[in-house]
Amino acid sequence: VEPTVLRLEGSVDVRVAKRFRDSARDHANAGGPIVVDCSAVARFDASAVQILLALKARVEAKGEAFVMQSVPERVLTLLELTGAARALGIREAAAGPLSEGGPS
Amino acid sequence: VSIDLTELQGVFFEEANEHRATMETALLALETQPGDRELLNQVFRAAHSIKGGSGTFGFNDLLRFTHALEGLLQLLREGKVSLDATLADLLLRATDVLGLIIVATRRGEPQPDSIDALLAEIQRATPKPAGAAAYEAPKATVVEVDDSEPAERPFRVRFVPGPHLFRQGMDPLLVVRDLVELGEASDVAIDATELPDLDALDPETSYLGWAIELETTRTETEVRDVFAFVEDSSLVEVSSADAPESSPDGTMAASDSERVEVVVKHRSGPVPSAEGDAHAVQRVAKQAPAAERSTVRVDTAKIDKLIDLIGELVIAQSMVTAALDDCGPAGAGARLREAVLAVDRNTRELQDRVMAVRMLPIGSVFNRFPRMVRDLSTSLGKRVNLVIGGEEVELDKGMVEKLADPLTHLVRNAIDHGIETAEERREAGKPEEGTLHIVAVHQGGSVVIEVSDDGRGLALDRIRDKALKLGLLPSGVEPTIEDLHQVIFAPGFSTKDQVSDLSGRGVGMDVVKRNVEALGGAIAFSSEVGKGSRMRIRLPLTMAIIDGLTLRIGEQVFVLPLVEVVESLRPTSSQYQTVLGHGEVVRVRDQAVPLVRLHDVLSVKDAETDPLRALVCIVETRTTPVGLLVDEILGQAQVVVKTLETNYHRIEGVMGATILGDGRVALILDVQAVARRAAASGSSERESLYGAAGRAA
Repeated sequence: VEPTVLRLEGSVDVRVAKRFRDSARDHANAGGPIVVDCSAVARFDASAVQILLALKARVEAKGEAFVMQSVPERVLTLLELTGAARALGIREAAAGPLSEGGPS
Repeated sequence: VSIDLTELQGVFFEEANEHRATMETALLALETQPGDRELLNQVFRAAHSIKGGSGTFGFNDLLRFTHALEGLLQLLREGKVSLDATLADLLLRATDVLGLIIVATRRGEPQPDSIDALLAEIQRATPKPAGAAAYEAPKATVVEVDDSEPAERPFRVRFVPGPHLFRQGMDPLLVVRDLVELGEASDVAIDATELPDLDALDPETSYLGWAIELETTRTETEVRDVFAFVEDSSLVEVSSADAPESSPDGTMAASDSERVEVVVKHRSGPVPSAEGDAHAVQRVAKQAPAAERSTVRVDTAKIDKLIDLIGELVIAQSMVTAALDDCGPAGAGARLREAVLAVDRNTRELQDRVMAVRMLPIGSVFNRFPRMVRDLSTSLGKRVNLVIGGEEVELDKGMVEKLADPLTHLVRNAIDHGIETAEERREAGKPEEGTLHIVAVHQGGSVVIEVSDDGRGLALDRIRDKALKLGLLPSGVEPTIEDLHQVIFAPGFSTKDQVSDLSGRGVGMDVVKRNVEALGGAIAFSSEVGKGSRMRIRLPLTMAIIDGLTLRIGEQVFVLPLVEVVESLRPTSSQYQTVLGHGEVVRVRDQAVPLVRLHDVLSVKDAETDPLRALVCIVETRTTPVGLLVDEILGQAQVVVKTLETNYHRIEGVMGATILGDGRVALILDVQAVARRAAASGSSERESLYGAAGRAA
């Protein structure tokens, strides 16, 4: 199954949390695996992290894969320091370039 | 609920300014109480707070600066750096630059040039293992310098942010980051057991918790300090991982139901004290944020609208009362009268309460002076002891803000012109340290602010010479001390031959006087050579409502601010005199009071022109009492001042208008301006009349 790509941009924080939650819900409802493309993310705050965690839980509960990709170094550092990287299952490899494709 | 970012940022900037002011105040206090740890903690918390907020909003320059500052402050707290005069000065300059950065960031303008130079200075003052790491490399490694470094201790930290932390502009991730940066974290685990399903998730509520195992050389207090700004609303548990658990509640192994119970318990009240004395100071300091949370920031426009409406209500109320009076004693039932009286009482109280909302302690203006006095006196090589009193006296917010400039000028003057250098004072047999008093007191319905110094006082002969040279005093007549004291308020007057860097710039005394008068106040000056000078500002509590004397001139009704009226009388023929070539005066207890025919000044027809059949209201003006000729005094009333500028346009001699109980509109006279206008229209000879009348006394 072709994964759905959720592309995030800029500062993903409490200001856009409601929109992010709604969009995450829509993507989750579409079914199938989800790739979150973080290449254009400037920062995540805790409100974003908890939406990502809820999205991950929803997707994985249906037996599908949840992957966060192309997390910029700076963003990754904060996620690693705060345990969010581990909780979100971001591996070293995920910091690499995003493979092309998928609807956003 | 959507969060308005601009509003949040506005709150952040306001708070950042408050924190900056706190830093400054505490730093100044540290100069006299260098050992006071709590003061140092205040400075640190303030810097930390600004840093936290700037990180949340991504204000990187502010973040960079406060991060560096915080590093240095941390070393101060640890006693690794000691606070000497040089460092105190650096920190004070840093708070100045911090203020500039805050302003520039708020306006989206380029950052001040001074930022990099000062950052370099801060870093030079921060010895190495210090500020741990630059911001760009957040993974701090504690460098072991020598064996005397304290050993690393393991801590177990549990942090469950309060549900509303996001709404307070806080990001728990950054708090956790700050904690982890204190040392090496062997484990950072997110606890997501409270996280609901995506559908039920409120994006603005915080659900996560953290369990952190940390090895650090820092003390438990320092570890707890990371949570200083979230502790009130969050669950924070710090325990030494070496020590056995004190209770099962403190462990992550506790069951979910137990955990929730603990969270709820802690969130609903202050964290129970489990610490020893070492923690007592810190807890006391933490009380403040809790108290702050019981306040609400409200846009002043909303309050003004409310005040406006109350004003309308007061007017409507007086109309009802007037209508009731018209009905006569038999025309209205006793119950109606009682009800109207009750409404009247409540309306007055409502008015008082709403007016009180706008009142601010004058201390918010006084706060700037310790720093200013310190800097100015140092730059002039003078020693000045500043004594401030009455900071708690409250004034209308608008007035407090507008007082800042005139007061600043008076304080500058006192230091620049008033207080002598230490040598001069010694020679004069005075203590080397001069004293500057800034005191506010309530006096009747007004507030009096005094700025006084024990300096050299004003040399009256120099004032007279200069004033004569500038043509500010009529030549050929010997001016009184009063005249000379008034001259300093004339535009362009300064006794210092060389214009000093300090008071030579900015507003002059004439502007100070105008500013004070624009607030409905008055300023008076007195001085004694060799002993000192005193400026006395008298201000009404508020400009929105005044006690007025209603009076009739012809068919028109006017209001005089009661505070300016000294007395009223009907002159006898022996009291009324015309002074040849000058004008009319009324003699009151041997003093000749110049008479101003209000009907002439205000161009009112059909007024009583015979002073012996009219009344004279004697009012205070800046130079001398003046008698205003009116037809009749109608009574006293509290009137709501409506500005003419907003509703019509400005009229010289009129400070506003009001609606009377009978629905008529009355102009409220600006006594000072009326006197000025009378003087101007009465040609230059009338100006000298005031002097002549004063001397005739």
